[in-house]
Amino acid sequence: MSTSTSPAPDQMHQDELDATAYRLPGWEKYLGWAYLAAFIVAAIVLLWLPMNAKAYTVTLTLTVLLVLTLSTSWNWLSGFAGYTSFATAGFFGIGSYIGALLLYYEKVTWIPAVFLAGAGCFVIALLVGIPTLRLRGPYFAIAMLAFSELSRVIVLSWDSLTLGGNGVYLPILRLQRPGENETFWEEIQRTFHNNQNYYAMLALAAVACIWSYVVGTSRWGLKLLSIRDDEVAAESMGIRTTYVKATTFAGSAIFPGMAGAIYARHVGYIDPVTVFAIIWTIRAITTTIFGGRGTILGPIVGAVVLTLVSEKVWEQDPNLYQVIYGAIIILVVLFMPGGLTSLLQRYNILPRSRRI
Amino acid sequence: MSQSAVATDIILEVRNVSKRFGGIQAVNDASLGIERGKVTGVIGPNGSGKSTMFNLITGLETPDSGQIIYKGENIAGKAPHVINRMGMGRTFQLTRLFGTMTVLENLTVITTDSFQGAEELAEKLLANLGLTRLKNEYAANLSYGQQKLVEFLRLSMIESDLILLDEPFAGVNPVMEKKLLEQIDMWVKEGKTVLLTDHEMAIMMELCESIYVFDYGSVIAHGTPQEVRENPRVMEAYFGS
Amino acid sequence: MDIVQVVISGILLGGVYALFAAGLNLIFGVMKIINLGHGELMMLGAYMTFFLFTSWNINPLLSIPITAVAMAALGWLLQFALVERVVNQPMINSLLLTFGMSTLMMGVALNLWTSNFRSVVYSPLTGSWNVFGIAFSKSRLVAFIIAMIVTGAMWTFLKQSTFGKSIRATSQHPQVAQLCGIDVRQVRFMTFALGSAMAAVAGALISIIFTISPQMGHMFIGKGFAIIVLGGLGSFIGAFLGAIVLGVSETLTAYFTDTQIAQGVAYLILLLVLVIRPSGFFGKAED
Repeated sequence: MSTSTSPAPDQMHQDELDATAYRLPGWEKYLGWAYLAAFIVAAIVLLWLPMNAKAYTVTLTLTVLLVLTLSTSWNWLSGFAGYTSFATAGFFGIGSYIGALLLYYEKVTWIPAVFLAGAGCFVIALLVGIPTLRLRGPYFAIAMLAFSELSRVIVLSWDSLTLGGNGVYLPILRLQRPGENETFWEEIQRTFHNNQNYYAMLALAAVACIWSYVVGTSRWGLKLLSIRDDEVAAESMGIRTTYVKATTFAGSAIFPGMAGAIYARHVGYIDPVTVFAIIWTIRAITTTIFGGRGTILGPIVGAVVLTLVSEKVWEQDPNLYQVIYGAIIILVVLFMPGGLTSLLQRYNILPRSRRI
Repeated sequence: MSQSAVATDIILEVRNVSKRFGGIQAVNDASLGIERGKVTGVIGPNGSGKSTMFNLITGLETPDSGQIIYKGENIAGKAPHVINRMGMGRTFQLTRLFGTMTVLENLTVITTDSFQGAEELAEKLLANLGLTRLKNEYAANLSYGQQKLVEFLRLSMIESDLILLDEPFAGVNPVMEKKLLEQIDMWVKEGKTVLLTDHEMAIMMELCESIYVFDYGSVIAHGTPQEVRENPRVMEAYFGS
Repeated sequence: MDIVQVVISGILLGGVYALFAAGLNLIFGVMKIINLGHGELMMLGAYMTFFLFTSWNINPLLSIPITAVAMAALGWLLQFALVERVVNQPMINSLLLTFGMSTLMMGVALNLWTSNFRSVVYSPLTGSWNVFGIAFSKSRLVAFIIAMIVTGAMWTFLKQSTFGKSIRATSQHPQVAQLCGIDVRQVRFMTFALGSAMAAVAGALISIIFTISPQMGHMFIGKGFAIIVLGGLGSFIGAFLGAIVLGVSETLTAYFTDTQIAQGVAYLILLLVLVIRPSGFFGKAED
């Protein structure tokens, strides 16, 4: 009766269904426990790290945690929802400056400064995001690029507030020296004090990872995926796409914002060129797509692997790693669009679950 | 020759709606009155404006002029998800499921009630059609007919009072067709209103209680299948004079 | 009089911007690809001019054909190795790919040439000519003229020549063009090569006006997008008008405030146009 050719025969026979495409839902329950175990182990190791490690190692780990925060938060809007954003550097810079200036003008202590940096970025992201998220993917990306650069110019020019190109110097953390007959408890307290920036970044990264798990396993995450898969259909099915996108964008902006503020305090000096540099966006994007965008583990794996590799192997040549990152982006887009996680899934090293 | 206007409940009224795309007048001063609880069909040659009309009703397009009154409210220009939440569901000509999600996820993502409740409802609906074993299959792996069925099921996930079906029988074999017709039957029994468009004339004539005929963006005929079949203008539109 | 001078200066600069944007527009029109690496292609053209001038004493104006051909070849190569592969994929993939290209090229440049600023000091073009009491910066005027010549040549080529028509046909309807016997693959290769050459020539011209650095591409891509979005994506005339508008806006802003702020004008325009009227203001939206 039908005149058009049917795309596929639609007899519903068991044997015709490809068994390998099935996800095995049974053991997915264990995945959650596996993540929890890994998280606890990592938390213990990382909390203990400054007690025994050299300052160099601690700083390196801080950098890894920083990139991890940037990549996981980038992944929510750009991986799950499919709206590639180039705004990371913008929010990193804005957060750095909000945090640094609050400290510079001695308005608050550092912890509130970090939170305020996050809050400020949230608000700005809403203001910027609502009009621009209406645009289609590539145009949104360009708009975010413009936003990041415009932020830099504004910070650079508004020197009465931001000290412009001179940058902002922040007081260096005064390290506590071990006293005589220091007890173990006192040693812990001293370590905690001396590495407070590290612990702040650790906390931030931990929250980002937890939130990634929540996104990846919840219906909210499904809504993001539906926007990526077919935004028109999603809207037609009743999903409030603008609301979902805007809140995801604003929520994700909090993290580079707070990371920027912690970074500012950690290095003690920031200027517009450094904190608004495109390299922050490049790192977020490269590590996430390398690891696998739209997955829980992808940005984490990518951030850890690439940051360690780039810091260790190429620290002699700071510009070489930009070359490597560029090459990685190209290679991933052309040959490995699903990233490392999809590669591992194809070879059955990682389970084929969307909860990965 | 149109049906005499008996005082029936009109759930959707399209009043003099027009839509132009660049140089093309896709919909030209069209008016429709869809009665609650009935199956109404829209037919017309390709390019006659049927799909655009659907898009205008469901909010994917905004009319240049005219009103679209749904349940007493003018919904012209409202966002698609708002219209959907008012109890209007639709399917698409080419199935638009979320490919990287499973069938179960495709069904549960759209509801707002609890995850638990959504999953239970979804499983029940799948069981009704004998599709339970597909529930964890990625939507992109389903056959075309299976996708069509799942799209239909999506409409049952939210309380839809008016269901728009865009060429539901295209490319579908007799077995699947029977299942789709059963589903439509069930909806009508539940008191829902169905508005559909398709090229399968035999089915449309059999299924619909009222038919609108489109040509070049305008409504050229309206009536029972019998009246429409005998209307010379309709023959002209489809076959030329 | 001052303002007039500033505006003229802006128009002259706009001419060079127009050349840069035209290449970007061409690539987008034909392949629907947003070339984020366009700025780096310009940068490479600028550096090529610089090195030909400082190492081999080649006149920076006379070296333009050399630069154009060399960069066209590079563009052809990039298309062959990279861009061609993402042609029929969703736009976002080409966006990321060209972003990777941009990152890579900038990284290579930083590595080879350091981030220091260089300048092409070509003495016959320093200073300005005085015409009716208005000072025309020599370098800007000459750059403008050359940019107009090249852009004009490109315009004529697109309108009149057979291959130009193939390019236009492909940008309007790639499938139909193929049915008419046009080798769209060849068209794409040539388009990217031409676009790259245009960017490079724009870079050569910029190098005689401003100082250059590996980061300059980054600044110009923002300008490029501001222009084509302002003028309407795909519209040649629109891009030209948009370029002039940008050039004048920048110089006026720099005049009333400072050059730092002027650099932000392009980004502001880009954001505002995207939010208010994404289809652009001048040309027809062929989006």
